[in-house]
Amino acid sequence: MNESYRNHPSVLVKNVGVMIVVGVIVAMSMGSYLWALIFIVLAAVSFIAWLRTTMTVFEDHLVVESRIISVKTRTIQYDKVASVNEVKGVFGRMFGWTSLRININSSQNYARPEVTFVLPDDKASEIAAIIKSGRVAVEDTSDKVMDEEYVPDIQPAFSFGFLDAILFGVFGTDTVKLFAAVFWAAITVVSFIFSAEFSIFSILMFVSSGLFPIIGSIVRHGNFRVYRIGKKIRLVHGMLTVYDTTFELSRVNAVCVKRSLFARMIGRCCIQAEVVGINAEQNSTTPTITMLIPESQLPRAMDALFPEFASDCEMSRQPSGYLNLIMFRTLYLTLAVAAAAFLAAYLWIKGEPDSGSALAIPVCASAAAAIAVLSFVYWYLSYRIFELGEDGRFIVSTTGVIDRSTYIVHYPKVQITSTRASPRARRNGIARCTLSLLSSGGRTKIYCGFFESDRLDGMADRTVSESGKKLTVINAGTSACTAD
Amino acid sequence: MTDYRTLDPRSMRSMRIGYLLATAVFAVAAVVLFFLRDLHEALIYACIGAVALAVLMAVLTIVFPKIYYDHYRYFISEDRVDVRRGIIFLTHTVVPLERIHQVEVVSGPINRMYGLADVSITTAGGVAKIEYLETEEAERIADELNAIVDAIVKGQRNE
Repeated sequence: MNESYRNHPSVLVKNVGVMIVVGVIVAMSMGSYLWALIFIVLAAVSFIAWLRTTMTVFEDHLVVESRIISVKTRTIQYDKVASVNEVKGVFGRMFGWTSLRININSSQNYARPEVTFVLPDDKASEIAAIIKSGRVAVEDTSDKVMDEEYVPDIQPAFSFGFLDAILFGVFGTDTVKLFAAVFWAAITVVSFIFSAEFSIFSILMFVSSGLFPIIGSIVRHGNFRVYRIGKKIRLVHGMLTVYDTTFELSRVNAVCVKRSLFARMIGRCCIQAEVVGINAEQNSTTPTITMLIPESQLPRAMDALFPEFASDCEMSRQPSGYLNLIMFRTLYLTLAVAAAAFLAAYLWIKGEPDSGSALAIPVCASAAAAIAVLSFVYWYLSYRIFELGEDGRFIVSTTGVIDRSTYIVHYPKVQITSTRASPRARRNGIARCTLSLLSSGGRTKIYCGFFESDRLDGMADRTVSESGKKLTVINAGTSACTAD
Repeated sequence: MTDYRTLDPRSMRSMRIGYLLATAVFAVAAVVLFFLRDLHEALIYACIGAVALAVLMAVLTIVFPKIYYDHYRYFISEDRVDVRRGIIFLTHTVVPLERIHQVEVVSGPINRMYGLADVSITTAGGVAKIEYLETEEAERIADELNAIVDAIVKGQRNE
């Protein structure tokens, strides 16, 4: 085919026309033609962008080129295209043009098309047909319940009541957010006690950072039930709006066992999963598979819901070289905060000589010392807590000092492995590894702490050698469990 | 034994121009703040900060491009793209070819002056880049990667 196309002139009319109209309005209202000139320049840039952006269609791929300030040439193989949509708006239907939207499975543009080109109706249909015929047939993984598989009397693997939803809403959230909510609640109470009136600002902060998210979580996760049906997981939850989501196990890239600080105190944890293709609006964070369950029930829950992710790998802590790194980090941080504290004290004394002389040095020195000590404690705890294990099929990583997460990642699901090492880390033979996966929210990065560089290079090699393999999904039944 | 390739020596000049532009921005800001210093006391400190940043960027212009050039290594094999780069912190990135969805060749105005381009490799989990390649080399690598990806997909289709 090898034909090149530009965007339909309607795009030019829209972009340039809008710029000119807005420019005229702004110029008239501001009383200065300089504003009109700015918009005329922007209109000219839009014209050049339209003129110099082309799409060339080949037999098995297309190339989008744009030559504005930067020259960009993008090649997209049809086999990598996830979906092709032909969208006709009101004007498109009237005047005969179609917006062709091409999506690939990219975390960069998970929420919008990779390529959008406006073309005459016939050309758009022709190109869409070419792209669709060039794609490999994809297994239908749409998340709808398969009626023939759904048996009305099937029992959920886990079901949770209203109290569980409250517990999850309060203790399942990030500890920092919970502390922020408590902080603002305390400020509200204290301001009332000392001034006999409520601080509107603190109330608003408490409501927005604490109350609404907790209530929202309770409403969203009320009546929570999770089913394992063959090779699928089905989630049904919600007190006002009922969310019914089904997805294939093959779309699960990683399973996460999350333990917030308060959840650990009460001996509970929850299971989440990094799933490709879950509607990001419904599940704006990593989808919850179970709410807070007792730790003793975790093995049964994993066995019932994710037996494919069973892993017996030996976990190891960060090597002693990391302690050396912590010492130097603390030293550098101490020097940096000391310099900042000195500057702050100087400015304080200069600005307010009366109060500054007495308070500046003690306050700034205390703040600097607290930052240095807390940082050292945090890093030392991370040395004691972070773990890494691999068994050839999975990478298991435990991170988090305050809120702990244990990720079980299937090797072939890792898209990019990246290790990073400072000069001090290199001297100790260690580096920090980051695994990039595709998830419901676009891209998920899993940080693995500091481990031996050779070991991390071996993991990278393994992600390459395992990249073509698929997860062996077990056609499991369901086993009913209750969260006691 | 993997044969890592290094960057084109012209890359250092392209990097220097980028740093010089940043230096110029801070220098201009410092000059503007200096002339406005009488408006508010804080602008004096802002001017000092801008001067410090301009001096820092000038030093980096001299030092960093050589270090980046010395550290930068990449190779493309039949199953992966492997890039090592960095100045103080060294990053090693590995992308299995099977994961590549899209390959892009990008050449900004500074790179175009020196006949250089970047190859941007998009996967489902993020983007990896091979930077400061000669334009023909970048296009050749992009063609090579597209051909390999095409072969992998056709192989999967035949299975």
